[in-house]
Amino acid sequence: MAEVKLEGVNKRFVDHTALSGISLEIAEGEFFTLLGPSGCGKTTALRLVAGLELADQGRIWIGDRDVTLLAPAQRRVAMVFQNYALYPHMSIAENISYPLRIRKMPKDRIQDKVNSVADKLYLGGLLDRMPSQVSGGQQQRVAVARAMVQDPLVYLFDEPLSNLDARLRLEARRFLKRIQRETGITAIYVTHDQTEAMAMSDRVAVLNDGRLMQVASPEKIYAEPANVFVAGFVGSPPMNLIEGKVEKEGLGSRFFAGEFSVELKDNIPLENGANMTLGIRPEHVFFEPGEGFLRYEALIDDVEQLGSEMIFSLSIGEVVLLSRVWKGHAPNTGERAEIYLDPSAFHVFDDKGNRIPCGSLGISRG
Amino acid sequence: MRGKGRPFILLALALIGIFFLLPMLWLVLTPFSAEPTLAVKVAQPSLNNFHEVAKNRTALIAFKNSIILSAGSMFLVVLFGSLAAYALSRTRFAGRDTILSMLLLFSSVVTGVAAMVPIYTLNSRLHLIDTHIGVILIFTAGFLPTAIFILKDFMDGIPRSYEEAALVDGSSSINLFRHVAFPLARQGLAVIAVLTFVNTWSNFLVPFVLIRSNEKLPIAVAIYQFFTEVGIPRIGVIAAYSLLYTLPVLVIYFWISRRYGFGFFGGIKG
Repeated sequence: MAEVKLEGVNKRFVDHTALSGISLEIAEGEFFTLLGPSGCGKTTALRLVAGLELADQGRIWIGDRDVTLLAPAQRRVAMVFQNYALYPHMSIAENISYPLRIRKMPKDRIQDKVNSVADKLYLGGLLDRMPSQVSGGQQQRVAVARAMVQDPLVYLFDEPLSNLDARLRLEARRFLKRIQRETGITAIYVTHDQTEAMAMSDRVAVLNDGRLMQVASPEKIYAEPANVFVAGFVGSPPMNLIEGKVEKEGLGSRFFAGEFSVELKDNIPLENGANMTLGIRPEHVFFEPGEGFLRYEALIDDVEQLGSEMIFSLSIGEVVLLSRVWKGHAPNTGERAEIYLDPSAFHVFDDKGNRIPCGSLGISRG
Repeated sequence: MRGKGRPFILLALALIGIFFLLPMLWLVLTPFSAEPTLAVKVAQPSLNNFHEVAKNRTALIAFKNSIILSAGSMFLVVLFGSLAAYALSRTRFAGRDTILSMLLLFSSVVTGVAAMVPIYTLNSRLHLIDTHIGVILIFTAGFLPTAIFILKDFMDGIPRSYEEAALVDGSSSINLFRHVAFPLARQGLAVIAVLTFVNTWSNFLVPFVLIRSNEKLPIAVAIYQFFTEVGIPRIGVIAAYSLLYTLPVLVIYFWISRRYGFGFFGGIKG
């Protein structure tokens, strides 16, 4: 296993810039996820580490070797592709053993390694079949087996679960995490599914439009998103983001968004008239009062019954908020209700969308 | 097609069909006649014609020569065609598309009548006159451009993800070709192999120009001799010989069709 480092990496394609100024340090044995929407550059970054693309600027290290200009074969990485890329004309056993065969490993050693990896991944009786003759889940494990058999320094996963159906995906998720933990090999994982990223990773790098938005542990990304993009991307349903303005009156200041307003404490470093975005997660929008909560009156626009929980869509004037509550007291669509916001759960973002740290003391009842 | 015109059109089609079918029927039936004529029937059933062919040493050697020429060309075209098509498919360089369009034109030039004098001169200078390899090389050069054009299209259809997986698995470029591209292009290669064989099997002009000795002539040229031996065409023997002549092509076609199938745009499963 080895650590991976990217320094100042830029990558341009003919008509757009895929990555700019990417610098990352991934620790040895870490499960590190690149998360972001389609087109954000996460797969490009992975391919750069694999050696399938060449960076325009910057350097890439695997361990203490500068691999920036090395061919994939020389980097000692193993990749699991989104569509598995199993060689259709080779049997399962031949697929798994391919990397070893072209490295001219002795036949009996190859045999042993293939069998041991196949057992670990429950592929035992399938070794003589062709890829088209096994199920999607099995194909995925074959792809993983082909990577494992190489004892690489780094595993590279390119959305390996996205072709599986929902139930299989959950099982496979836990399975992959277990394998990575057991082998202790550094893993770089690409996905657009934020639940996957949160569930599996030691740390997550959120990308948007070729740039790094935030690199932190899943907990930190959820609790302290660095900007509006991360705040809205991670979390399901997404964080409520209310855009409005700051108004300073004498010694105090308030945040206004139409009919909705909140008093801010003086230590908010924003000028009078500045744009501000206020964020609060749906699970912090309550129908019951609590200690220090702020009370508002809202109109219930819609309810989604999800079985264990309910998602409410409600509006305070023009401002639309989502609320997520477990089963309990629930108003109906069309009714007016009292809602309570927990000010310690507010997130404040400046006019550029960047986080302004503020404790629960930063905001109080309006 | 409806109503009035229909019966007439069907009649016309039937007549055309018979027109084309008759010579083939003649070819299949006549060898088995002892007193062959130009009529389509088996006059006196006998296998005598085949015996005559079997006795004729030149005829049998010509058979062998035809196989050597066609199989040799087939082998070279498949090998070099696949390599070139792979390179053209996977690389990008200025002028690539121009080359591709020009390829299609080159084919008809090399084995056309107009090129015979230059070809003779070329082979003469290379001391390849009256050799099999000389003919094979000309056949290959003649068919290669078309083959490359067709194969490149086929190679384009092979998803790059297999090669990328192979690259990260540790392959060199040669490995990529040997283990991934070549096997996956099987069906296109099968088509090219058959096309090459068929095109060279009945080619008269090139071996006629380039080969001097009787014992090196392929059937296409040798069959001429059966005409001129006595001045009177020995129809039965010629028919028998011709029938046997068509067999290898049929064999190759069915064998390859069985083994690989002819799926040009079938795509790759699995």
